[in-house]
Amino acid sequence: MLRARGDRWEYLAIEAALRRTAPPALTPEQRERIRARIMAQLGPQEAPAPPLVFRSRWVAVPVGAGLAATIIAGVRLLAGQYLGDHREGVVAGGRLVAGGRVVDEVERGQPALARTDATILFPEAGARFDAAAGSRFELLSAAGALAFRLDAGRFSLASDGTPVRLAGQGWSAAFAAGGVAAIEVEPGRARFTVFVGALTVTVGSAVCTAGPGETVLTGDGSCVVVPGNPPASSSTPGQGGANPGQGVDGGGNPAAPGQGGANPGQGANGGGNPAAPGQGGANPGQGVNAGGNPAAPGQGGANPGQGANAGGNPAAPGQGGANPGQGANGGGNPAAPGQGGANPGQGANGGGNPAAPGQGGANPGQGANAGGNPAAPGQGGANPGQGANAGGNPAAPGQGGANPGQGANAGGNPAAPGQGGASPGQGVNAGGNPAAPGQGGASPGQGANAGGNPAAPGQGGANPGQGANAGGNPAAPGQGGANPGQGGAPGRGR
Amino acid sequence: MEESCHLGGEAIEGIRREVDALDDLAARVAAGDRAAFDELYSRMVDDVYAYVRGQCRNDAEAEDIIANVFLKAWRSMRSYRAGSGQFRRWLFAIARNELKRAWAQRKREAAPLPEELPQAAFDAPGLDVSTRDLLHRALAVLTPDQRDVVVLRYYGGKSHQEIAAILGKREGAVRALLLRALRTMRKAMDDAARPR
Repeated sequence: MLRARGDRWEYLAIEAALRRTAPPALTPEQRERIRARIMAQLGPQEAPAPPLVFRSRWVAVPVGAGLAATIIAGVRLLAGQYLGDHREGVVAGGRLVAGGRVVDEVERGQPALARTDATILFPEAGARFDAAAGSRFELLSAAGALAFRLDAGRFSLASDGTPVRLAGQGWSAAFAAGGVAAIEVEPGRARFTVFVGALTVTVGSAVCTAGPGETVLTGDGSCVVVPGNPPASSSTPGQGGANPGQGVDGGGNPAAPGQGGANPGQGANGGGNPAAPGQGGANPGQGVNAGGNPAAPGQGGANPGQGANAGGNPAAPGQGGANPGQGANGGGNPAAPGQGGANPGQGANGGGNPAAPGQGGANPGQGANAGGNPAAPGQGGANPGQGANAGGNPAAPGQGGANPGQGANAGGNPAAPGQGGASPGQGVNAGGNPAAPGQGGASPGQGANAGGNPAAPGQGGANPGQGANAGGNPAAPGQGGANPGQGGAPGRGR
Repeated sequence: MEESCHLGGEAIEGIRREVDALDDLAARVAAGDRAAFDELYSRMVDDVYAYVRGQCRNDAEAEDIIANVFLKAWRSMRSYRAGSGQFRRWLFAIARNELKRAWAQRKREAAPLPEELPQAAFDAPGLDVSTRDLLHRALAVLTPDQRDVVVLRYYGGKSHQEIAAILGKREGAVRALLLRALRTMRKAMDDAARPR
């Protein structure tokens, strides 16, 4: 054919001309010159390009022993970047044997065995399928909906909206609109744990639908849904922890953070729940605890005075109890200053109820106590303000007396009595700052204000003690402050 | 020309051994073995040079391209799937890309250097300058695929089967490409030689 003659140039002539114009072979000199040049420039080698590029959101999911603890909740492959030609499953990790050979793609109708834990991605479906080592399965369909037959082993599946159908011996299951689940298949039975979405499992005439956190067990021709705790979403655990911790702190039940949350006042007040200080007020005893007696929260509740303690004298809750009203009020029920008045000792004044200083004055002695100078109650009585002060500056009761209002302030800041009054709860808080135990310390100062020294949170803690003083142990407020902080930790414990 | 049709079992076995040897070397190079890379260079440089030199202007440019080809091969050797038996194809793909890059760069140059054909063109008996020029122009009108086949066949001395392996095409497709290339060249040379 190439020998057909042309008008002027024959193919043979062209071929001959080409051969004659062929470049000369590489000379030894050229070869060595290029070699030296190349060898002198050899640098580091590049890592192989990743076969897949995808964005994913990971959700921690316990799938079972031997299988990775994480699976993808949503897989969105960048269209066509590396997988433009792949229409079905791509083996992105592990060794998968199908048809007697290791494959890098999963084809429909071909039983597959995972030699190792294997991951298969379905770019078009936006899904991921994991099979633990030794698992056997078959891809039945990848068009429209994904469909697998699961023969044996452990699997996990994540589909981002694409329906998925699963079939096994005597059962079938389906995600109508995607979901995440872990599946264990053994002869005669199967177990489905759903993490996201709703999975409907059919065994004979029995139909079981499981939602997040629930498990479906099949066997003996039937199925059963085992309820479970919905998996905490990424947005809730933190909150839970935060609250629980608080509650815990507050109420001090590390083992029952939720309860803590249930009793925010406690934790809040206690550890200082910023979100529910008022409740703390509502539960003075708790607040007291709130005040943060880690060692005796229950007592705190029992002894509102502890609220004073709340102010934070872990070592002297009994005293708080001795002055319950005080603590409570003192601890700072902003809502009930009158009571404080009723219970001047309540330190309310002491603790610093600006709204009822007079009452405090009415019961100076109490205030004094309230104020919390254990060493000088009489003086307190004499100097309600002192009590207040007591509430506040243990070192300057006389001044307190001099400035009863201050005592109230004592409850707080002589310079800002109103604040003290304004934040009696703070005093309580003082008992503990809901927002930040440390702040609580700060607040304690406020409480402190209440009890005392707003300017010295640490001192406040110390002061809380003052507030506590209010409730009254000036000597151990720091602990109170410290404890509130601990209150925060339970959250982490969760 | 039809030798590839009559390759015996021994020849095929030799090709297989060569393919396996190249893959082994590639695997060692991927592990950072410079001695293996040196061996790979020795085995492949002649073929790559013939392919490259036939499509660039002068020896210096060819040497630049060759150096780039092997340096790129070294850097990205881990991307080559050892055991696939496609090392030649992979390396020539790098060479083809380097040639394209060189051509693109040449187009951007404001004042291109005078072209220089292989010295053999001048030494070829009975091949005058006008014929050489015609041949050169005819090569220029070929498609990249056609030019690859012509260069590998006549400058590299490769059989159809070897060209098919290098370019990743079927042997029949290589033959068809070569036929179309020669037809195109003949037409281009006829048109150019026809008095106006």
